[in-house]
Amino acid sequence: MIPTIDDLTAGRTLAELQGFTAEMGAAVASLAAQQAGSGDLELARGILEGLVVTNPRDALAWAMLSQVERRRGEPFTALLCAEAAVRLAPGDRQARLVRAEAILAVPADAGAGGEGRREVARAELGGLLPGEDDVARRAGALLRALGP
Amino acid sequence: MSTAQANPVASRLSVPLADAAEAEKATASSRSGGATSVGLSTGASVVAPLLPWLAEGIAGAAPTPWLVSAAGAGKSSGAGYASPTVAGDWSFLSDPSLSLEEKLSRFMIAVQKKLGDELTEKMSDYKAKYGEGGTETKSQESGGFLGSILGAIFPAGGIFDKVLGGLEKLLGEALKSLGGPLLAALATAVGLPALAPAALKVGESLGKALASSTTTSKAKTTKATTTKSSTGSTSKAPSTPKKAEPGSPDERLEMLEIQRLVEKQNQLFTLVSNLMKSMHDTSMVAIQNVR
Repeated sequence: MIPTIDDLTAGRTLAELQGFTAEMGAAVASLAAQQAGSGDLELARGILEGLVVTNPRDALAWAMLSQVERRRGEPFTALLCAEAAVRLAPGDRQARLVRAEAILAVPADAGAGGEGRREVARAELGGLLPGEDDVARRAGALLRALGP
Repeated sequence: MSTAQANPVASRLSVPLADAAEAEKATASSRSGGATSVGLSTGASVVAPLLPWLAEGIAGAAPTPWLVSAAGAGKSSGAGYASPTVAGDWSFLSDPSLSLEEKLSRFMIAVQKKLGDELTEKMSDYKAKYGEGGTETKSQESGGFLGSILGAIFPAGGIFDKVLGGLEKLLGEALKSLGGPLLAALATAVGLPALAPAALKVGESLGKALASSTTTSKAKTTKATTTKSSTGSTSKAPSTPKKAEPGSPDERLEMLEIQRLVEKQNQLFTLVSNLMKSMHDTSMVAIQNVR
């Protein structure tokens, strides 16, 4: 079933219209992660783009796409995707970590707020420190790399 | 006749009297044309805060001949009076001074206005959705529409407002590079699903423009090479992006809707014109018979 304009404006997703379940989405996302891990960023990007088009409300897919775009050398696209992920899941620690990484990936000499961006990222990472999960460890490592 | 009907003032007393006896006294006093005010003083003290016009009448010169004044007439229920005329576009229908022909013509004007507004709205919708090359799409492409998405992602006054200063252009470029479906998905993700169809279209045209510019530059390179080698044969690439192909199911549906509205207008014209013609013919027959 192809979404109509009314479907799009009402915010109905292709996944909803086609009966694409969350489990299927998770399977596709893990496939993309596998491809990204093996270094095939273009394929991973293609898969993830398809996933976010199928369900634009999937914060995990946006976060993964942000990571792939960052690794492809597209910091601004990565920032857009990360912001979409945080907007969809404001309390998600992974999404916030991805956004902090995307902010740090923006070249320091781009625009006027280079130092300000670092401070924003630092604050964001500092907020992720409590905990013993991967997110906290990664945030801690990034903070140490940033220095005092 | 019931007491309430016989005594309009008593019927207006929404405040309960002390007891039934007092009520009877009040009724009796008003029946007698105000000959005695016994009981009314009690009633007046009760109703005075609520019905000052009644209290005035009672508290005035001791035996008040009439409790109903012209000022109080406006407080009646209005039963038996003509209802006020209908205001608005359709008020002419209840205007007794208008002839049937006049009402018909005004009816036609009112319905035509309604249909015209509806048609204009539909056409504006169509233009917004499919009007590539139109001024609206151009303004959207030139930042209005992408700016809306960018503004939704990084709202003004937020933390990014300070740290992303000067990056608007770069972020805009990144947004353009996303392409139609992804741009539409992003619009939905940031809470602007209404912009998704436009994002889809704009993204497509942006992609085509990018592809076309790439093809053109490649063609130019080929042309330069072929000119240098003096072969004389050059390949010509399209210089302008081709408009989006009309005829998608949704677009056809929109066109059909516009067509339906136009047909509705035509039908109305025909209907009213036939009606007026038959009325004219009837009148003419009557006149001919008189002759």
